[in-house]
Amino acid sequence: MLDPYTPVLILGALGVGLGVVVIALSFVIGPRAPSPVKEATYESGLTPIGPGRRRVPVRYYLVATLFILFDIEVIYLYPYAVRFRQLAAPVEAGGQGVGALASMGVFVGVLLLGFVYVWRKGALEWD
Amino acid sequence: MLSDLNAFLPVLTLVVTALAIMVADWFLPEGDPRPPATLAVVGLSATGAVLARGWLVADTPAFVHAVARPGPGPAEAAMVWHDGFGVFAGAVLVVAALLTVLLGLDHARRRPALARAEHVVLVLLATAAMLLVAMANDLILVFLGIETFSIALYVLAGFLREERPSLEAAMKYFVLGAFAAGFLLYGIALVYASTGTTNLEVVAAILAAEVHSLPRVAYVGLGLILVGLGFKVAAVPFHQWTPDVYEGAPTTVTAFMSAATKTAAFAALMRVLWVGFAPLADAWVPLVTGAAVLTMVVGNLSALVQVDLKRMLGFSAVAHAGYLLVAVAAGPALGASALLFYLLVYALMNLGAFGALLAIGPVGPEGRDATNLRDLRGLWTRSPGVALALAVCLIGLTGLPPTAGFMGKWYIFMAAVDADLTWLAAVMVLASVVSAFYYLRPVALMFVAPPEDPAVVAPRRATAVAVGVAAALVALAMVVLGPVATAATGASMAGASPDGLHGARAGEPGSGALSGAP
Repeated sequence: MLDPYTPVLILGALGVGLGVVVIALSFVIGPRAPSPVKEATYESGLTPIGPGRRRVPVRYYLVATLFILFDIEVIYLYPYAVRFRQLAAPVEAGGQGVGALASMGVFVGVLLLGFVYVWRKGALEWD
Repeated sequence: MLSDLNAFLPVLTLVVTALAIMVADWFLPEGDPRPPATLAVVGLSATGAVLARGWLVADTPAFVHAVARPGPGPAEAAMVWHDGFGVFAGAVLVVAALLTVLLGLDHARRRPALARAEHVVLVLLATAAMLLVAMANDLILVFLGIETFSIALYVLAGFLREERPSLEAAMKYFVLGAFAAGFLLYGIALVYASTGTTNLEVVAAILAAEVHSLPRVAYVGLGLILVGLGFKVAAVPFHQWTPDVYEGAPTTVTAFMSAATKTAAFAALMRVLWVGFAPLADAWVPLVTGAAVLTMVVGNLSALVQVDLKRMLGFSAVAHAGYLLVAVAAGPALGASALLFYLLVYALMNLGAFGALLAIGPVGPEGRDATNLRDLRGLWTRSPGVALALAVCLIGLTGLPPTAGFMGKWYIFMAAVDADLTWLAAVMVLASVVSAFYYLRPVALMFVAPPEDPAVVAPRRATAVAVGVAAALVALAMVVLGPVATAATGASMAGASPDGLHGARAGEPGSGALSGAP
């Protein structure tokens, strides 16, 4: 019985299998000459400074979270901009007329409130 | 477009209030809990008014959209149903939030961390999300709403970030909650995979049409959704987080969680099961009744041995989830009405009990909240009012007449008997008998034992008002809550078909066991 999902299963098995085979092959037949330089943490070719696992200031997470929040929300502007002509068409023509502008106004307004809130609370100050 | 706004108006009112408080917070002096709380009370009252008006124009769908999948079922289906069921559940949520804000106002004087405006804002945003969950007619909206209020609650649970128990509660709640959300979402995905839609009414139509040729995946999806929602309502075996989180979270937050989360999660469970999965009732009713029995037994037995009152009320919340599951199993007509009424009663009793604990005030040199059984000794001589209010709420939680708790349990009992679940109703009565021991022990301590600290307890005004109103409603339920019970009977759930296991009987109009007083 050929389930519609069988090809997916085969593809998955091939993907995993190929990865395992390649890594195993390089492990078995590849030459190994370890040296302190090779064992060092890889930092884009630069000489590493300090250990690879070190503590990151908690502020960094705050900034990262804020970035992700606002970045993702701004993504919603793109589909809106692309479809703006159709959305802003008069109601009789199947659009939303002024409603299209108003709904985006509400969206950006809430976003702006959030931004000002973050600013006023000092979450953007590094110290 | 306008009818959409109509249905969303209660949610919008809450969100706008929350945003207004955030803006006002820029101009207000820091550390004063009164202005945000006042604004919140205004906003919640407005929401209450909107809901009261919504009661008159209930049964308007919002976000009606065409469904892509051709075939059986309605051609278009609503994302949100602004029906009697949703509006009643929303009213319960608003009452719970109102009492929480009042309690938080005085709690913030002892715990400066709670004086931040964000405390109130998060409560309001959580309430808004819960309203959406109670009205949602689409699995995606159910999930979004549950996640939104859960994230607010994770933060609220850890609001006392200088205190370890609070942090522990937040961490546990977050990790387990995120895990449970995964189950819920995966279940929704599998249901989508087997029906091609997430809209509850359309899911029901497709399930009914294909009930004999359904892929097994649909049942797996239903099971995973049950796990996810079971976690939120604290049903055994997904209840382990409850006592720890209840004990560690700030007492006002615990009170809010116990009353409001339960309301939203049970409203969602009722609607998802009886609107979306009614055609599969044969498959899930045994699961729900089984979980109800387990939850009642485990919750009540575990509560017996607790000495910390918050923890005890945590297990009591588990036990009550069991009683409410009986209502869910009893069907979308009488069961739903009994569920709604019990949720209101439970919110009043729980907020009253937690509020009374807060009213006792700080205990000991470190000024902790009064949560130990010891702290209740001789409360009657220290403050007759607080002792009386707490006693009323605990007696109500036991389910003794003439309190509201008795009325609520009576309705669930009647609904269960009507649905041929008499044995389940009997288990419920037996479990309530066991619960009398741990609810009445504190009452005895308050009135009989000599106080350890004879200082007079004088609760602040907001707490006194909140606890007094809750306790008075619980005590005088027979007189005051009759019309509310009638309203709960009339609060129909849009899209719930009377088909399924309890078919014809549950759908019979005006069998009205709810309208007659017990």
